[in-house]
Amino acid sequence: MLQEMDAPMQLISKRMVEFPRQCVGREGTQVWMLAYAERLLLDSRIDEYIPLDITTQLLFPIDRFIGLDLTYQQHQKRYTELLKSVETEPMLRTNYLTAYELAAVDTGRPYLDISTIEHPQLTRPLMIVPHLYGAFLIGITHDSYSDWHCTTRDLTDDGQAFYKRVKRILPSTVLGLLTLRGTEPLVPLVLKSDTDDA
Amino acid sequence: MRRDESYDGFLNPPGECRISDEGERVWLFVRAPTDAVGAIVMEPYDMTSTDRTYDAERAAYDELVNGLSFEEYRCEIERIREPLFVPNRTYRSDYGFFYDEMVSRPVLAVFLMGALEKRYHEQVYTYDDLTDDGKAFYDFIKTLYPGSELYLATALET
Repeated sequence: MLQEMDAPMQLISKRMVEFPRQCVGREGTQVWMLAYAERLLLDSRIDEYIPLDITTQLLFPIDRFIGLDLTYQQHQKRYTELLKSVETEPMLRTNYLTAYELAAVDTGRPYLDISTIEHPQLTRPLMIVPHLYGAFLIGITHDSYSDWHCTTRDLTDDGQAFYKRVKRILPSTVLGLLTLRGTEPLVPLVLKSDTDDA
Repeated sequence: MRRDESYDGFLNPPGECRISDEGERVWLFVRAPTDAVGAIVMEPYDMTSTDRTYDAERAAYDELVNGLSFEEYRCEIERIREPLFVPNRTYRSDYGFFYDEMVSRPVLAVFLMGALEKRYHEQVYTYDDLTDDGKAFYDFIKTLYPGSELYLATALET
């Protein structure tokens, strides 16, 4: 287990994210650096050669989502609008989503969206991060924070150097910083032996 | 200077001659040292094998040719890939069907090392088939994630 390993610094040898000094809990926080294939995001220049299946995706339950730097401003603006429109607190559920989650979905495209893919052990909808050349876990901590998501300003010198390095490898790479709740895997791994058809 | 549309990335195929007109893709997977952290991603579509499992998978294929049943062969491939990929019981469609592809065990990183329009490698890409920059990147990732296992997965573009 992560706790048993006292793992954050064991998992990643360089400190790439400067987490805030003040934490508000021990729920955990993790930061992923995402490398998007911009041409697929834009769905343009279709006559050009783009290898098939050159991207992968990440999936995680929507209640783990804190923020994506690429969409955060629009997300917060939409969240404020939603709160005003319903004149209630963030716990209001709209179509099974909290106002915060709904705002994330409304403002996520093309960088993230709600998915039709399901997980057999989870009841909350999954969010999907599509069109990725790759993803790197660059920061993880047992702490959680109030009103914080990672931006490029929160990267250390090592983080900045890695950010620039990844951006240069493949064509039209757009980088994003995804901040999620918890230290556990993005979704639980289900093995055949855990299921009836083992 | 790299052409804007080039996806060669870090690949340095062993020969100039193309094997076929199928393209090829190579992914780097960083397998977490524990199942308690990371992301679970789908196995690359039409994956041939990985650098760490190719020899065993090739031996299993030889056994198939020499009489092993397909079911036994399939189980053997599952066993060989099991440190990184497992049969999918994690992601299913909203119709309730699990997708056929295998899924990874939790990984700390996954990255496309390159994609080529033709197939140039008869087997699978290994560390030796990366460019100098590719080897430097691989080495950096290896030191960045101590205790993790790195795999290079080669897939065909069909």
